[in-house]
Amino acid sequence: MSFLYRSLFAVAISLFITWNSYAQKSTILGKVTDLNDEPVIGASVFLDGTVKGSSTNPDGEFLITNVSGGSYILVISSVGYKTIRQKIEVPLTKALSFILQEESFLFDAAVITATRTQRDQESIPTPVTVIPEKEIEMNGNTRLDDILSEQTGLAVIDNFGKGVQLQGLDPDYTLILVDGEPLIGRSAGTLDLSRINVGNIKQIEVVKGPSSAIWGSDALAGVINIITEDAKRPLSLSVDGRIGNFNAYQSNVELGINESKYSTSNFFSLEGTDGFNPTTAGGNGSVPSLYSYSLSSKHAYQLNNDIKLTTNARYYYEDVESAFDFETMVNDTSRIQSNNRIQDFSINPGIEINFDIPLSIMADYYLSNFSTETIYSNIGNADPDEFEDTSFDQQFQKYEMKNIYSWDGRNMSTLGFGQNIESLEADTYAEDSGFTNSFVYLQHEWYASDLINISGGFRFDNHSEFDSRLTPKFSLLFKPTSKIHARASVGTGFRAPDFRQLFLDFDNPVAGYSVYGARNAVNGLNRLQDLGLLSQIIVPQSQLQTIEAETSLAFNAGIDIYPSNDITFRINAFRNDVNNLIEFQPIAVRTSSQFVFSYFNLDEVRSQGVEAELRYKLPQFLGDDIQMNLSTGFQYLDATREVQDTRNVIENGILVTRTQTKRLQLQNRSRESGNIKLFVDHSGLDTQFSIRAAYRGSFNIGDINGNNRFDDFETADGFWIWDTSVSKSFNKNYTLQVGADNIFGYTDRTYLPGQLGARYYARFSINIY
Amino acid sequence: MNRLRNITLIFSALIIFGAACSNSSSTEEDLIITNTINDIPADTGSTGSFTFINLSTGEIVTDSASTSWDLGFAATTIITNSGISGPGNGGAYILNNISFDDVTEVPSNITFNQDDAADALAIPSGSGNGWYNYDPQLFAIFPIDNTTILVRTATGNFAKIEILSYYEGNPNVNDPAFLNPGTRSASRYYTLRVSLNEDGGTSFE
Repeated sequence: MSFLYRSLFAVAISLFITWNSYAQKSTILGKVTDLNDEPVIGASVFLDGTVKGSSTNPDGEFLITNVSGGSYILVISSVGYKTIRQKIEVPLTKALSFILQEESFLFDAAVITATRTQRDQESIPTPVTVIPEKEIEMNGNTRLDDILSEQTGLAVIDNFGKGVQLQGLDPDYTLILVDGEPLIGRSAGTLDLSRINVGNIKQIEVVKGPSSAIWGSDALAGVINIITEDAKRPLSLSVDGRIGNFNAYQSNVELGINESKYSTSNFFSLEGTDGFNPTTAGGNGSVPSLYSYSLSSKHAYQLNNDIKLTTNARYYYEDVESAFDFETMVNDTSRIQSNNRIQDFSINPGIEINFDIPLSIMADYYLSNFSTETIYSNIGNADPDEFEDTSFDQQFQKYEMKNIYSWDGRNMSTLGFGQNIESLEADTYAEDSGFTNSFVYLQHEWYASDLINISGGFRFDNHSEFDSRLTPKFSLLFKPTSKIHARASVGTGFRAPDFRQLFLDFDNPVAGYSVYGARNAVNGLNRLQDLGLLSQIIVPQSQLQTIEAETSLAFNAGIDIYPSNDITFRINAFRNDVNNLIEFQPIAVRTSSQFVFSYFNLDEVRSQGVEAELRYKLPQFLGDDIQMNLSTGFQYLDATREVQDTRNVIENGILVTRTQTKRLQLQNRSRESGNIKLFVDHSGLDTQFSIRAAYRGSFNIGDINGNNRFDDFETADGFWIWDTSVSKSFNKNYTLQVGADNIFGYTDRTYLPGQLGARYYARFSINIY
Repeated sequence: MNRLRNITLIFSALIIFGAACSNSSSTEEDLIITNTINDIPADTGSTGSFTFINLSTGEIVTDSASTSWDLGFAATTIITNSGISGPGNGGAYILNNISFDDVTEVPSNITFNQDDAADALAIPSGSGNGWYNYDPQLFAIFPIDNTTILVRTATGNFAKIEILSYYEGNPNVNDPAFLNPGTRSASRYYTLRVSLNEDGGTSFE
């Protein structure tokens, strides 16, 4: 840890301690039950606009200590129940009691990702989608990409791994977090979401719009934060097993302990599939066979009233085998097998300090390591011939300290600072690939009145490889009535050049071209020059090595309408202008007449659109114990970049070039997308049923023939994917679920090679304790 | 297989008299021949040998040391009867971003290229460099839209050509059978559209 960092830490603590207020302190005591008078365990209870909060114990009781006198909004929320917001006056004269109404669908959750403080979803001024555990369970999905593909405004695309397009921007521009810490290991920009098991997830929070003001690089389109389950009961142990076609199997074990001072939550999962090959000859539409296992372990220890120690650790291992036909340019075909092993490990020790003043301090260290090894062999021959073995080993470290100070019930500040240190060892990268990034962020939330909540903040990043960046963001929430919430935000985002764009050092031995990262371009060219392999310089050396972060400016504005308790309607319009897009272009010509490429800030793109979602809790016309929830969502997207459209004409015997600019749709974006979902919960029979359909409109796969427009063969058709599941519980502790994904077996071998046909599964789970 | 295969000369050659542009250098009675030449096999056996074509007749020529051929085809490489490739005074110039029909004459402000070296052909090879793009997703070769190749024949006449297809039978590229590499017809079969001014003029009208 750097000296600077330690000094800042000390200064911050002493500053905040001197702000100690001398007002009389009170305690808030209460109990939370459901309609059947059963205690609600693990419900989140907090004072809105402060750092004060706790959760209910196994008897449904909660205690919040050291609260200054005054009026507060107490927020009580628990997944599956409708959130209560109650105004209270401190000091209280008696213990409080709350009855939570079961809410299988129209719930508002406590959200952490949008502001880095616990917030009621309704009171956040930026658009947030929360996918609760209940929906994940009912969907029967095991992988994050399956869950996200059913959400409004998110499109899962396959590009060196399953990634998600958010507001029409590429997967590279969405930050993926697990419990607030970033996942690493983006091959070609996409972080493969199919790597993430959803077996132990409490909720998934999706923040739309740039969030670099608090999260830094990569949070340009938004942030997806996967919140894992905490132990709620003194002892919990559950196992489940799942089998499906394509010889897919999965088994999970979950163990939780929650004692007075110590709690732990542990999860182990093993899974695999034979994959799928559409033709015996191979072809290109295949899904590889793989097996993987993952382990996660969370521990929290309450040292005393003020201090809590936490440690989270994760390990993931995956082994993928695939084979494909490779047509060489001389029209030979060889069959290639690839074996790819992935290991992903992280550990995150931290400390939380809650002083007797309205200040919370959280400090943590995060270490993550992602490594892959890929072996290619030619299996067309009788003797398999291993011809390439590449490895990739990325390390990410972060020190961070976050301070949250509540000035009064209406003002709250968050100050954080820290440093990232990243390094990479890989075969096709320069030797000393690595960088450091120091950051400070400050955010203030102001509850100006019951109607208006304003928040603003900025983050400053000082990066070792390119210029420092300041990213501000402002947002506003306005509640003219309890039935209408309007929100607007303007923010900036950035994405730092990745390892590839900075340090790639790749010479293709077969085709004879080279690609160098911006920081490595001069070295690479000098090396080629020394070997006598350069024939022409296109870009002078003085113009190389300059690369900046990609930046964006974005606007979001939307309205939530609650016409009745049973209906929620949300609509949000967005516009993102992304500048300085990093792309490669030729910098020199080799003696082989092939080019040498490097990376530059070249292009700009614009993505704008509108997203709407309607959730409706149907009247219980089928009986008191049958609850039906219907939801539907839609997104219209216009994502374009400016291109120079060049036409040549012959006038009076002379060839003349005419150029005009036009906007070309970005590839792989659907103008229209949407979904419709029905969830039925028959509490009398302990049975749940769901049917969900997701639509993705037609999209372009690229301007293959270079004519600046999309021809029929360059356009994939729109399609619907239908999924269904039904589950029944016995004795509360045994649950059987059967389901089918992609019921009608939609496939498109050409444009969606990773889209499997119908998938069927059965799952049985047992809660042992 | 040296046998002339699947070569069809479409005899609907247009013979246009006297419609030439007034300020063109061509005479008013130039003979313009317009052909479609189907399925020129281009080294289908992967032996590295070229198929030589006479643009006037649309037929295959076997004598590569003569001036009776204008273009030679082997896989994605196209040579002209010039420089290192042949004894003729041929050459070519690639016109991008202009349709075949809009090329009404040989513009006066261009200079024909010749085959100077194996890596400096008049019609450059390689995806995106000359006449085609290679799509690594579909494993397919697509002629670049609105690309017209001006050709100077071995004997110094001017022609314009458009490459319609690199696949046998000039298949519809939007057809699922084409989009699936397993059912796609064989590659290395060129289909060309040709207009040739037989009388040495620069007009194609």
